[in-house]
Amino acid sequence: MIETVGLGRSFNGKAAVEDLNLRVDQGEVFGLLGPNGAGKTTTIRMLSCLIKQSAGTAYVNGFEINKEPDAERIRSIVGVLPEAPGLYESLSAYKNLDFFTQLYGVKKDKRGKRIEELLRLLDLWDRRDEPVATYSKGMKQKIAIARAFAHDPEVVFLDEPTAGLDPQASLTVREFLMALKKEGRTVFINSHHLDEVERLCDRIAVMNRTALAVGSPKELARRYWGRTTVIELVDSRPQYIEAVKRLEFATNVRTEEGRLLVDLDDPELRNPVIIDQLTRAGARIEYVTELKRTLEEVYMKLLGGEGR
Amino acid sequence: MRFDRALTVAKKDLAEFRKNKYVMITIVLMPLIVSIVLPMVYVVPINQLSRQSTSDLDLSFDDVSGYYEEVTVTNAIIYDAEFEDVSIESSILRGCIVRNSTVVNSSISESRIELGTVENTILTRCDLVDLTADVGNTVRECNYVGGNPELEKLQTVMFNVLLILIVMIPVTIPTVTASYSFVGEKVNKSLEPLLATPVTDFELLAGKAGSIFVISMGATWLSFIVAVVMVNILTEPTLGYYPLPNAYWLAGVLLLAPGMCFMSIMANVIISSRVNDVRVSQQIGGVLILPVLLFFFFSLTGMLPSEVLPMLVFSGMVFVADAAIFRLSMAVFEREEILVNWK
Repeated sequence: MIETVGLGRSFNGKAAVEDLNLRVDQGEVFGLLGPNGAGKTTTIRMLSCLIKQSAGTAYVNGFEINKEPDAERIRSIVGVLPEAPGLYESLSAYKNLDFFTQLYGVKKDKRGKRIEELLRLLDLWDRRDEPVATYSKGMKQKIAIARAFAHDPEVVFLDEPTAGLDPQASLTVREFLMALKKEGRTVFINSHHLDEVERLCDRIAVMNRTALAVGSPKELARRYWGRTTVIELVDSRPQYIEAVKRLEFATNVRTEEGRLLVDLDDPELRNPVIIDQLTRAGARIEYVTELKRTLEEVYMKLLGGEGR
Repeated sequence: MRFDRALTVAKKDLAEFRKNKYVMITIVLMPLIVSIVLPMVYVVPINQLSRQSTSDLDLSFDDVSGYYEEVTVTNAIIYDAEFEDVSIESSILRGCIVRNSTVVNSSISESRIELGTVENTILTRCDLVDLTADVGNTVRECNYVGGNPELEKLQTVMFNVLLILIVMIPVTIPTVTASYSFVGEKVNKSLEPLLATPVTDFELLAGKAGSIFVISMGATWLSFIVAVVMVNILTEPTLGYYPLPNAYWLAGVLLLAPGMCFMSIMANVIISSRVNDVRVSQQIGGVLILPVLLFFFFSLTGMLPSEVLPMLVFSGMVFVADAAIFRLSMAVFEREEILVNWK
């Protein structure tokens, strides 16, 4: 579990992160979104005890950050994928991983097995003995991700895990992360890839120096736009709209592209009433669904852009 | 401090050095030149000078006919005489014994000169015993007894220069290896994942510095052993003894060299925090050779005797400087400092 309490960090008097309050539960995959310079990397660096905070504090699995001996303990139970892969180019993938697992204190008999497992998951086992310098950018990123998981950490911080990867490599990494998600470890992801975050994360936070909103993508959309039911009619006539408008709970009834849209507080309860009302008015209904807002719309709305 | 983690870092760095041809060339080539090529070059003048002075003379003075004491001999031709506390100038002597005397601008052959001062004189087939001064002379087939001042002076110079180069090995190798170890890691952006591990700053520094120290001092001591063997093999037949190692050399190699090696490594840590180019780091690191050169310059010019005591004192000064530079590098080599302020 990760908990930040008024966490802040300044560089030369300028706040990079301020009053950050987050709670990430055990086994949760949490996404941190924000524009460049929003303080995402600084947050990960503070949480993984790489740099000290200027204000507040945070706890990772109960250990307080940047406070010895907790800091060393945190470093031993977390895995970190930094922005750049930062591999030893002259060494092989296997030796890179072996070096880091040794530093994390993984026993010799378990090291080989774990490295093989990770390299096979990432389709790199056959090239394990080749120098990393000969690898493509995507392969290097995969090795760096494997390194973050190599010591079987309880908490993993991933900073832009698919940055600069081609779609195929991104897919492999996503599948890898999905597979590891099932293992129940806490994963904290920084990313600009909204689609990826939406697919991988249980909850997200949008931040710009501080957290602007926290919740699941669906929760955030509902928080900012409410819930809207979309009704596709065989033929859209004014009397159908009037029939729905007569319902007290129906607000902002409108048509868009031939579809009837109704804002509702509780669609699960109200949708059958609307359908009944429309049927009585003679309308023929093709389908009823909920209007889905994308994470991009939520993100843009929170950061001052216009939602579509 | 967990030694296993420092050792892991050291072993990784050594594995990287093995794959880096520039590092390997430095580690192999410089010691090779210093320990094998230079002794061969130096030995030539030593042997030449020795050949002039090692004729096995067997002078006999049974027929010495005259004895002179506390007189001045000028423009004389004297055979078979014995001199004590005299001043001889512009004279020709043969078959003489000259003790505690001063000889200037003369020609002496088949004679024995003891404890005297001989200047600008032609010496042919003489026994020269413990001369206090031997300046500007032409020496032909003479036998130095109790040392050849010119040979000793030459040996001192040659061996000092060789020792300078041996001490420069542990200063030079870290400028290459440390720059790759620290600047290279920074440029490669591999420090952040390394710092994210449980390894402490001190363990990391110890591992990195340790690997550089081991290869630098390994190359230095190996060069020292090879150079000593080479010099001894090449000079013993003419000198009649093994000139190396002497106490001065041992102090230089066992104290000064490790002290300078440590200083070079720590200085490179500090340099690495401010530069982003391996070559710039190497160039700045090269400045460290200057104090060593300065010390040996004083020794070569006679301002400092080439003896153990000055070497010990200088080594002590280096150790004090090491302690100071170590504190500085520890302040620079700190997680937050590396990630936030290393340029």
